[in-house]
Amino acid sequence: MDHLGHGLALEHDIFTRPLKATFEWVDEKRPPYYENLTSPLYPEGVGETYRLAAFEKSKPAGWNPTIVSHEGFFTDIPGFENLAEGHSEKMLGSLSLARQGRYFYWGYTTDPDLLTEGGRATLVNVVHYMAGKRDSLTVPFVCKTRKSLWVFTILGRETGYRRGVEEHFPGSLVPGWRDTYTPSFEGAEAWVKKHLPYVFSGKAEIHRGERYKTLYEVDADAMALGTPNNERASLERWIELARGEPGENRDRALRCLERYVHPDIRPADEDWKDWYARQRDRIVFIDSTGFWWQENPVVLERERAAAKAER
Amino acid sequence: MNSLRLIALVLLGAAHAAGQSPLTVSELPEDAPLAISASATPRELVVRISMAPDWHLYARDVGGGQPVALATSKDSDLVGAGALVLPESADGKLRGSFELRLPLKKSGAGRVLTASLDFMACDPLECRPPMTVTIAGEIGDVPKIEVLLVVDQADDRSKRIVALFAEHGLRTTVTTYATVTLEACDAHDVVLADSKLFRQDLPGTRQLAVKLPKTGTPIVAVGFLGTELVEAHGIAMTSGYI
Repeated sequence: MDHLGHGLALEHDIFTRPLKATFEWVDEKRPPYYENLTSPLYPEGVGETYRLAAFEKSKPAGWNPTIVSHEGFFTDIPGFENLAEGHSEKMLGSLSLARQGRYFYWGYTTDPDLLTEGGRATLVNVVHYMAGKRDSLTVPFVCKTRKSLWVFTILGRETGYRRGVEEHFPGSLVPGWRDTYTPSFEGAEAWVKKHLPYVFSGKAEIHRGERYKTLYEVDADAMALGTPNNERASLERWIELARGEPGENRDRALRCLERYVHPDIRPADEDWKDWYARQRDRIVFIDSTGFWWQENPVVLERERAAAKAER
Repeated sequence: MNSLRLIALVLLGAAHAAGQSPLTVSELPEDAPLAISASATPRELVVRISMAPDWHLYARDVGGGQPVALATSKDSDLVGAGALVLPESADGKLRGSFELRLPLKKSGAGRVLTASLDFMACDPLECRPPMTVTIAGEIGDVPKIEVLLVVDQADDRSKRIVALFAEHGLRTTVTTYATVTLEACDAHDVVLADSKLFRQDLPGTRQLAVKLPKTGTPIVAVGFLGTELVEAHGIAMTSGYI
């Protein structure tokens, strides 16, 4: 990425407090490689023109990486803040300013001599903003979200880039599921359509590879029950089945509960109904922490703040 | 206007809770269709306004009434240090409850802040004559934010960062990736883990950056080294970069 940014969350504290960050804006025509793409900051895609703000005075003479969201590699974590996109010549979705818990990512230089006035003000504001985040909670990263498979499909369709569907996609599946995949644009699209709601990873050694750190598996149990693994209705269905008559569906449901309800919050007495009544509004499903239902860090932050206020 | 006065008291209470110094707002006419409260730190003046139903102020000149203006007085020990921050308003009108924020910097030796707020209050049919209220009070000390700047080596670049932060009331200690400790990180309010462009840091810095202590202090992770250390800390948001 270069010295520019776009899609800025201009009303956020990092652009307004204590300094008002002002930028010189340049209207640019949307590049072809942004067409038909969306990102966390452009859920409807970029318009025919878009506005660029300079954080640095000129393009750096070197490589300046940005974190890449690619529509959900990690942005499924509650409380994650997307605050600006870096200007990338590869594709949309490269976040240059973002926060997760106590961590803020700054994707530009910090050298005041190289920053614009707006860039300097934003950097000072970021320090002020983060000074108040000592108690902010988040959850650990375990694996990429299933959206990376979808991205390979999109990349192939929009850019003609074939290695995504021919090499990276099958390479990202556990061996047993590679046989179900046809390495072509059409094959990728068909596979995603059929299997993506039941894909998971992050549970065992089989899900970690050398070249592709995250390897995906399809959950045959969830698929047989017709219960996409990240839907609340599926969790409720498993709980209902778990309390029912012994049989294949009950066994599948119990395996799904074991597979997707984080061990830290599982009921010790196996009373799933009572557990769900207590946890319903406190839990969330997150791919990137290992495909778990777990306590929502934003809810935990709120509960801790309330407890602190009571003291 | 009783309900507006109640709102003003609630807002004043909020200012105390946030650790800011409450300020006195005077010369607001009894029948003014708005309530105003104000508070400040040495770095920022915050004015909270609550409009009566159907009434508004102007954020900018849209051919209606005089836009709101907030300025410190010449004899104030704290003076404006930047543009007034107003809420976004598509039609230029400010309705309901909102805040105005003015960055401050020290000017005099004392702690007294005096400022004036100029505005016109209008409803759909009429505008009241322009009003000016005075905001004044003494500003208490707010502890400076302590920043730990972690770099590959202390050099002119790190000096420039320290100078920028000092200009804005931040106190910075410089250390290196080779020598940084958990105790030093924990003792600061923010850790700024700096990075030059890819492979322009001292050789071996990447290997040191991924070992940055897992502190409870908030971390601003910069550039390439930032992506590496955040990933090493088990945080999702650098699971890929280009």
